[in-house]
Amino acid sequence: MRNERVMQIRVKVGSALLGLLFVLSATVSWIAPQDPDRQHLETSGRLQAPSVSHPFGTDQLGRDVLSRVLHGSRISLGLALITMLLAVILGTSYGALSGYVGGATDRILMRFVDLFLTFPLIFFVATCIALFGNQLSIMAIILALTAWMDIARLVRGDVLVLKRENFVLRARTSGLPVWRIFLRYVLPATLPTVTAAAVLRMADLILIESAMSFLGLGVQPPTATWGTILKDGRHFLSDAWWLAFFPGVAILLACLSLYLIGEGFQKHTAKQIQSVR
Amino acid sequence: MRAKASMAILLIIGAWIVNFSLLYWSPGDVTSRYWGPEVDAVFLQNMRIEKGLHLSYWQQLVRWTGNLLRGDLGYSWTHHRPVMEIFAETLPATLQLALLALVIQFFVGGALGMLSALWKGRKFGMILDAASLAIYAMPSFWLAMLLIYFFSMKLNWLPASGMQSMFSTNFGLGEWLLDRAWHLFLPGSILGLVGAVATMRFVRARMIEQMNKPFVLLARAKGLSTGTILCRHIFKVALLPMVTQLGLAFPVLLSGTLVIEVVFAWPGMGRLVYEALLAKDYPVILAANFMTAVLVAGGNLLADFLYRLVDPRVRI
Repeated sequence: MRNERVMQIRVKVGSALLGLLFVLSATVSWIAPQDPDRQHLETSGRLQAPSVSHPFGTDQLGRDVLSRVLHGSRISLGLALITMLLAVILGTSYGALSGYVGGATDRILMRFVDLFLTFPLIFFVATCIALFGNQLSIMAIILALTAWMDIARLVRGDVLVLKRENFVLRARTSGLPVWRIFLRYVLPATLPTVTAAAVLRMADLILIESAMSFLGLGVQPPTATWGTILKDGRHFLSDAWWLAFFPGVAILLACLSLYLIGEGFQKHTAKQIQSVR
Repeated sequence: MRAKASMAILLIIGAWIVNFSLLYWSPGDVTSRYWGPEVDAVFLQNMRIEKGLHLSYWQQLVRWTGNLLRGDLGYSWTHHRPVMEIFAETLPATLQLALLALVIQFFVGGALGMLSALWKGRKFGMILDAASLAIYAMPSFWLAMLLIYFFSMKLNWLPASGMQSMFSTNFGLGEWLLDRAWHLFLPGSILGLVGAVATMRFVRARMIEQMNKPFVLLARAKGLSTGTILCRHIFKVALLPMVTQLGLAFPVLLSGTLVIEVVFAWPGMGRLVYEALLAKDYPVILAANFMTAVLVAGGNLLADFLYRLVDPRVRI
């Protein structure tokens, strides 16, 4: 009972934190104190320590770090959200197909998932992004390709069980087309598992995207994302800790909130979702 | 076991073909680095022919694969040395890092996981749980930068980058080993810590799951002490899945080395691949990704084999 309550609290705290981050990134054009790209190249403006006028300090070009972190949240969170949705669509259709058809097809399709799961994904993502470019749309597709596998597995497992349930059999005998049955009866039943997996996956995606931008393979400067600011921070680590510190806190908070929510949800689905990070 | 082995071979072949296809279809021209007003088109075309880039998809695939099967990993386009020679230097560096990380991951992670399961609901257990979740949600390179800032820049205790000190070739053996360990400590433990947190959460969940099983209740009813129940019964069952974690840990660990090696300027495979990717050094990219696939497939096989050894119920 007590454990249940702790989980509830976790989900609430996580949701509140995540909600706050999304509200901040949605209203960023009103609340950001300065233009994130406006430079102050005079010595007094560059690499300033946190102060009242620049709560997170300024970077090597005199840009306000708070404004950059806020603006960066748009791309970092937005890209992760879109990627996660793509992965959910891909994983759900793949898993549903595999589970519904069953038999040898199912076995082959699942073997393919196993293959994908064993490969070190950062290498795959880095290779793809380095070779195919780092436009946001390409990055979203490449990242989505790394995140669909466990969703496919979970959906397939659910579909295998559900397709023998009486209510599904009844719908089939009444002549409903397969895709209608899936949307109407099977999908809602798999929703809790998929949600838990998707939320956990989104946190992984934020981390992978930031790692790519940090390496200089992902989003390119001067566009502010949490990863690109951290990349600047690395070069000025000994002079300006704030440049490396605050964007990392933002990533930490975003991922923490997602993990809190995801783990809370996961308790209800009684299934282990493994990380691919 | 045979099915597992064929799966491993399939993984290696699949990774090889996918990798080659990615390189083949990627946009851009490899020779663009040499473009300039004084470079004429014939020279560039000769360069393409020399590298075999004018051939069709299948011709190139056969050529690369043939070379691979003959044990020829090619000649790096940026280092201008045989890829094999470069690997002989970088692979040991990465393995050192990965092995230390692996040991930390399983021993520290396993121990902390047990402790946090035992102390579940108590103050210390909660602190441990919260701390592990926080580290899990951190990017490893950010953690690395924070620790470099404190331990290398402020306290000056540990080196911020590299694998050995300058002039370390003049050191005696003891001093040399110490120098190596001193450099390995920070990157290795960060990589290990990030993995340890995942292992810890895994072990914790398994332990708690087992503690609620009826056989534990029976053991308690028989009057066994908590310590005996834990050591004789729960540990055995709860720690078995850790062996499968070993197989899963391998790809994650290798992914981790990519970022950590770049941050610490560690001369290993991760950094090699990173630089090769930026320079489109096809032979290095292909060979390194092949090597990674072999390591991952081998790690998985090893994990399956170990699982079979420790759990007599499984016959793979």
